[in-house]
Amino acid sequence: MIPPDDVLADLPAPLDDEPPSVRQDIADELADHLACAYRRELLTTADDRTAQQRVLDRFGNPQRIAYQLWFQALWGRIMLSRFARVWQGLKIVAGLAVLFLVFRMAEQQSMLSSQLQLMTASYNSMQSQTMGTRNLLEQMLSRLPAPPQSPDAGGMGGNMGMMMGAGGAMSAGMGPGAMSSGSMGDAGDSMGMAGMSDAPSAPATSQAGLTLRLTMEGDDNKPAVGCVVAVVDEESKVLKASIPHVATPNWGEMGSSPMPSGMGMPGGMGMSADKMMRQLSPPLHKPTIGVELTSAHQGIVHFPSVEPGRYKIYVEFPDGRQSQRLIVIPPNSKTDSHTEHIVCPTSGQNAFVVFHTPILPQELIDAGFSVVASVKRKSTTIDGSVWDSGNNAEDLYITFDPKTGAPLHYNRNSGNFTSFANYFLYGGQKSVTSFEKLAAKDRFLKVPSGEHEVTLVWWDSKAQALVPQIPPVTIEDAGRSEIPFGYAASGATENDVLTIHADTRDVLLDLPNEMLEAARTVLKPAAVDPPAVEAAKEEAKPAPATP
Amino acid sequence: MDSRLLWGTVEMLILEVVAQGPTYGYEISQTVGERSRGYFDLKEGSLYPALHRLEQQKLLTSFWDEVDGRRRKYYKLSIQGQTTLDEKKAAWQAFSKGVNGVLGAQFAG
Repeated sequence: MIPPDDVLADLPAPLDDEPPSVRQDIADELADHLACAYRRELLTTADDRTAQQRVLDRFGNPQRIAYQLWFQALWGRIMLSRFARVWQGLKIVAGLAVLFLVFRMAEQQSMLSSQLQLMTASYNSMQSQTMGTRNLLEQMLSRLPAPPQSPDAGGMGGNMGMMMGAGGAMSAGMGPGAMSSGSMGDAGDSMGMAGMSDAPSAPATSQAGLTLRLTMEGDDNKPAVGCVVAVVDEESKVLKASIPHVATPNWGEMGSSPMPSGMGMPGGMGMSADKMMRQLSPPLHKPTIGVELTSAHQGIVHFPSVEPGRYKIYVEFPDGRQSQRLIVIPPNSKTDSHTEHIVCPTSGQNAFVVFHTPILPQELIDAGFSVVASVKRKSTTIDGSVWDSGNNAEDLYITFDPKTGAPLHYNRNSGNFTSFANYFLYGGQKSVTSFEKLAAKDRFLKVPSGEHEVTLVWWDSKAQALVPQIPPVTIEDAGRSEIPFGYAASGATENDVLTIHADTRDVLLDLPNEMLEAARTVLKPAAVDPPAVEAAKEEAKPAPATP
Repeated sequence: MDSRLLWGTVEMLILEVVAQGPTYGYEISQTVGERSRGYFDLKEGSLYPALHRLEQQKLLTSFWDEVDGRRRKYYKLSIQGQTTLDEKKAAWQAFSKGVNGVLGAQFAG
């Protein structure tokens, strides 16, 4: 009959976890059945082959039955194995998918990183190119020759003229033909504009660009920041810059000064300090808007279209330093761009200074004399440009009342008076000031360090009747509706230089003898004893006298 | 006979044969053939998947013995198999009674 091994011929390879007896049990069971059936068939036929064939016919295919039993016995394991294989496959696929995603993400991150690097490199390249272009432009600007001298400009030695400071006598109405050589006054040394009055205005033939390059004084040519720049033509028209940062500077404040015309004087004196200072320093031209330089400008202001003609360049810093420059854009200029380089002075540190009352002889005190001191930053000349505080409101106007020893500080910005004794005398009566109501910046005398011009003026109450009264002036902070101030006639003046250092604290303004002599002249026939004045000075010297 | 009728009752027939005492596959097939007088003429090999299925269902238990130098697998009915057999026989008798009743009435009519 069929051997057991032949019964198992169609079975697959054993499973890993297949029990070893499964195949043998199946083979033994089926072989026993086939053997029993074969013996039965042999009882009916003597032919061995016929008996075997009849057994197989009645039994069916033993290999197929064996496979069916094997599968039935191991179905659970087979299914579990297949599930495990599928699960393993899924895990592999999932792992591959994760690896693929990670690879893609890393690839994209790498691409982004490389793009970022490219952008950074491109930005750096652009920045370096910009810096290089800027440096090249600055070099080109610095190497540009002065504009060709216009034949119409007459005897003007150069294309610019400077005028500033006391005695800088260019009139407000300066225009073509209006400037006389005499009007140049003391500023003539820095202007070189003799004969300019004969130069007619050139007809506008073409327009050129005007570029202003402002740097701070020093070796590093640091761009100027914080100043306000304006260019004004002969008709007082402000040119429009290509970067119009509008600001309102203080130029020409003197012309429309908020300072009361009748400056308050002890004893009700006559002429105002404002009027007197106006005589000393004529009003400046008055632009209304300008370009405020920020760090973004890099010290460069460009005016894209400028017709040939004469122009004034105004520069002012917040601390009061200002300068003017006269330039000429010649007609038929071969160059399409005009460049002006302006070097600005550096600012000094502020000092809080106490001004002590000057010593006056008793007879002058009794006669109602007082002293007004104008402390004004001394002008400096840098690279041909004169810088000073002009008529800036930061200048100090200090009125000393010899009777009380209290100085009065007049602030032109606020229009307020500040007394360090908390009161001042008006008309022989004590008046309360608004010291407590004033802002802190107005309570003390803040003076920039550096050299200052001091102009002393004495005032005589006896001259009061010589000038007419002016309308009363209102000081709102005083809490009173009206405080009238009288005129006073001005006396002799004296200019001196006061050097303020950052650590300067006390200043005693020493009155010169010439000033006292002039006061005696007013007091005639009363005589003033000079030795008595000297003795009084020696007796009352409180602090080192700086000026 | 119709094989669909046979496979619905073959497990009951196997359980009934095994219920007489421990027996083995060849003897079960011969007993079924003799008792049915040759009516259930099924392939003898097809009996074994049914036996193994009943064994997996715990209706039959098995043990091995050696006869004439060969290993022989004997089956015997478990308690659970006996219960199942009783249920199947009751269901079959009810079914047969119903069928015979219908067929008998038809014939009687």
